[in-house]
Amino acid sequence: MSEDQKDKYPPEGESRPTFEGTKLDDMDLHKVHSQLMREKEEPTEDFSPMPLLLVAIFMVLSFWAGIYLVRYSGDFGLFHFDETVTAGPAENAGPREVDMMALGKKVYARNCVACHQATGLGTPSVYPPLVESDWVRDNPERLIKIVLSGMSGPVIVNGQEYNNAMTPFKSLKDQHIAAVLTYIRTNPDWSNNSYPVSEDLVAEVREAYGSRSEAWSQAELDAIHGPVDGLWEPPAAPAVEVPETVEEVVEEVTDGTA
Amino acid sequence: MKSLPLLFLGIFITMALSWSVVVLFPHQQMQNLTPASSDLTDDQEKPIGGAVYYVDGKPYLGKNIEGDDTFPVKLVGEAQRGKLVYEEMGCMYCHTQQVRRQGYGADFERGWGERQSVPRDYILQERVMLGSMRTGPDLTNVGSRYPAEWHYQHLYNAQITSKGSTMPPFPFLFEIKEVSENFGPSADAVDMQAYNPGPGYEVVPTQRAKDLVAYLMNLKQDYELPEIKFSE
Amino acid sequence: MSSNPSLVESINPSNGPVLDMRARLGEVDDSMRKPAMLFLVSAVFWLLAGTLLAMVAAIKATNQDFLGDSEWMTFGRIHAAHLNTMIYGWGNNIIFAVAPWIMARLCKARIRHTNILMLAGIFWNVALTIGILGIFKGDMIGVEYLEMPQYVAPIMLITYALVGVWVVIAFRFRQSEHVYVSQWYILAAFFWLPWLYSVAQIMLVFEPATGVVQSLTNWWYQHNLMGLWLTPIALGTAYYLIPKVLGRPIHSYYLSVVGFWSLAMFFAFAGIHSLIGGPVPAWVISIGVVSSVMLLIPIVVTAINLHLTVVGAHNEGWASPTMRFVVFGAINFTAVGVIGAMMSLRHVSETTHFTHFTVGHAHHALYAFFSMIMFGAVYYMMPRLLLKEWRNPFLIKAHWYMSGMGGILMVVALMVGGWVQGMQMNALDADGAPVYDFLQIVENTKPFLWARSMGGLMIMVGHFAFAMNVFWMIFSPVEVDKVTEPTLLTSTPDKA
Repeated sequence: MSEDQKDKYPPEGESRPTFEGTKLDDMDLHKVHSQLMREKEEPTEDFSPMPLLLVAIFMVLSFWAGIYLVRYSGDFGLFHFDETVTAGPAENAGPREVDMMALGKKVYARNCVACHQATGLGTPSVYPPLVESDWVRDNPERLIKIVLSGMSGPVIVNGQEYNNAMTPFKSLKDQHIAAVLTYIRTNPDWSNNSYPVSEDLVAEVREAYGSRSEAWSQAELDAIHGPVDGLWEPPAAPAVEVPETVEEVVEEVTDGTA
Repeated sequence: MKSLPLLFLGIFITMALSWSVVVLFPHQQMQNLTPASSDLTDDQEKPIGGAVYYVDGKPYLGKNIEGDDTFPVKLVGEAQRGKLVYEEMGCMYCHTQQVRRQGYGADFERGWGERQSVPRDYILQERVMLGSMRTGPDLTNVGSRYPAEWHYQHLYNAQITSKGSTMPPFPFLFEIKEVSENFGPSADAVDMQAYNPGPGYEVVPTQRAKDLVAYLMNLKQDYELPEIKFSE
Repeated sequence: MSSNPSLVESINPSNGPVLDMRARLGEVDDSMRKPAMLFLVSAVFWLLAGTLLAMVAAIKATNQDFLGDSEWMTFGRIHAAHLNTMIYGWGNNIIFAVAPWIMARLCKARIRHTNILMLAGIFWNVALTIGILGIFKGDMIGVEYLEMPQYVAPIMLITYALVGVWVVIAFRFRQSEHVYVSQWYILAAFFWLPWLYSVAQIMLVFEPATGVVQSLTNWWYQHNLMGLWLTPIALGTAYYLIPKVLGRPIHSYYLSVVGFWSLAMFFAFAGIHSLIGGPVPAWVISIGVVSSVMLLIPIVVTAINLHLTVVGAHNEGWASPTMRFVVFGAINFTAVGVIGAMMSLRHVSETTHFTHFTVGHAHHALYAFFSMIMFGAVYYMMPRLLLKEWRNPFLIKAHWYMSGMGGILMVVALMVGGWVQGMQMNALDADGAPVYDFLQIVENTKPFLWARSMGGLMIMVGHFAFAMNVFWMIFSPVEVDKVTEPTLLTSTPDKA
């Protein structure tokens, strides 16, 4: 029997729906009523007016919004990223006096701590230490080369062997490389008691070796700088001949020796 | 408020207005951006890299010198495939790829970038995954920070390189193979330190791992642009 | 109006308009029974699945080796699956159950041809299952909230549209002159969603936009999914249930109007607050910040409106399961809105951005506000659809306490942990170097993540109690004369 026929000829004792379109029988009707009967009315709204205080608060918020939007959007241009600057990019302040130790410490924190650790002690058998290290006290040109092109293969530092890879940091500016090496070599806590590294030296090494893309090995560095002994001293300053007379000065200038 | 048409109008306007202001207008500003070089010359009157850049209120026009490298560069090959691995592993749920400006947060001090990220850095990426959580560090410049071997170790099990990390391990990106008797250890094999399989076995990255690491090694914003220089 | 005698007249032509109205509501309930129950049962299944995925994700956050060897169960995929299951599985299904029912009731319109709605429901769930499995398999798309593979998107759009069309038709053929506030909210939500979804799919998945325009679109979509779909439906539901259960009118029509339009206007731009500090021009960020703070207007207005409706009826409210859940949700709407406005200020965002705080905020809105109101709606709606009463008040109480306390625990743990995480991330010493190592910060946030897992466990228990009660009612036989009283949670509600 199909559903429609069941509606018209329900089984014995059951009632049939009283009009088409609903399948509720009398029993269901009772239940509908019991739930719906206890329900309250469908919701309505009262018409209390909006408090004036709220309107005042909204005015204040809108005022703040307007000021904020104008103040912190710069020139609404594509290239304005720093909301604290009101118009255009920040001006170049020109060359600044740089504290190499502080800069070096920052560069170290940003680039070197991952492997050599914040303490400079490295990780035993994995990454060599920079504290009281014979390599650090050695020729600074060796260190600059390593920073520029990286290192790989076995190395012996303070008598211990390490065999890992060091990333090259070619993209660091000369000033930053000089600063970080100065920090590592002269930082009193790390007892290397070595000498600072100048930006010019970094530039020199970069000019000569900076295009090298393979990492250095200890053998290659030793071939250039000799074995690591941690006893490097800066060369003594060459004697400067002080000219005696004006004629000597003129001579030097015209000869191109001044 | 009874009228369906008026209601519809209001609803439509809010949607259209918001989309126009936060999506359409920025798109208009950015649509002409092209890769650029940070070196500028004054000898031609063309906008740099597709948009006019103002200095002191005057447009700073210039052209890229012939043969100069322009940035950003497009990902190709392994690195391009690696980005798909990054996507399907859900890396962006814990890592961001955006550096905030110096002075806002500590992104600069943590070594996550030499400068803040700008829209031009992302114009060649088919899928921009700026990320929204730093459960792990920012990855914008991770290619400059670690060698490939570090990445293989870190992916296999983060505890090898970073003890205490909560990064999930990805051993299924690697295979454990027997060391070949004839040819010795594979050139691709990676030393997994404390997590090495027993003697006679080695861990070799699958192509997916190599792709992913190639992608990570390519993540760098180590170039300057006309509109943004490295922070001090 | 049909020319057939109405149900009411066939009973007793001398019955007044009250009975007329009641019987008409009964017809509405009857017509909505099958589609609403289909969506409701699907929603409960997806809720349980989503809660289970949430527990797995929460455990993995502190114990990363848990299920670590399985590629299908890697954290990134579990995260995406949990998100999509909860929003499109639980959220959308329960909305498709509750919202058309409320709209139909308010319009006093019988819904016809419900088989099409049933078909839409089946397609929805099939598409969703395929989508979630696709995520596990690795076909995940790297766009937050749209991770399900492309092939399911058209099916989902069509099913949204079908349900939406039914809602609009019900509204078009409404029987009453006055349009009540819930009807605006529900209508608006059903209009907004297909646009949001299709624009986002086109601009992010099918024809991705260039560069960071993707991110702008993504955040416009994500936040509007919350604010122009889930929020209006939840508010419309609260506006219906609170006065309905209490038998009192809403405090002010004017506040309702202001609340509705200010919500529409400000929510739509607010999503950009998720890009503060990001690689977009400063002006877009400022717009996001400003509109997020201006959201305080609809928050405050709605809070006042609903609070002044409820005030004085607390005992009665406490006795009703519906009221407990709905009022809890409404209170949290105010809380999440105020916290959200605070979070959008650049100086606060400096600390909270990228931390667990934002996760806490999201769950505050999605769970403590939206889901709790929907639970309340289920407790009200099901007896009227099935003509039975809730079998077990203990299970309702278990659900209430476990979900309520678990939800608060989870949200507070994440917010406090996120704040600590953010402060430590930004802490610099006198030399300008970071004070905390990254791994130290990871270690320091673990206790808060443990607390979040505890909250999640409680929520899971609450959801099982809920599911048990739902299926108990569905499968229990209709007992004709036995139960006619509502299942209340206290013995004798005292009138104030």
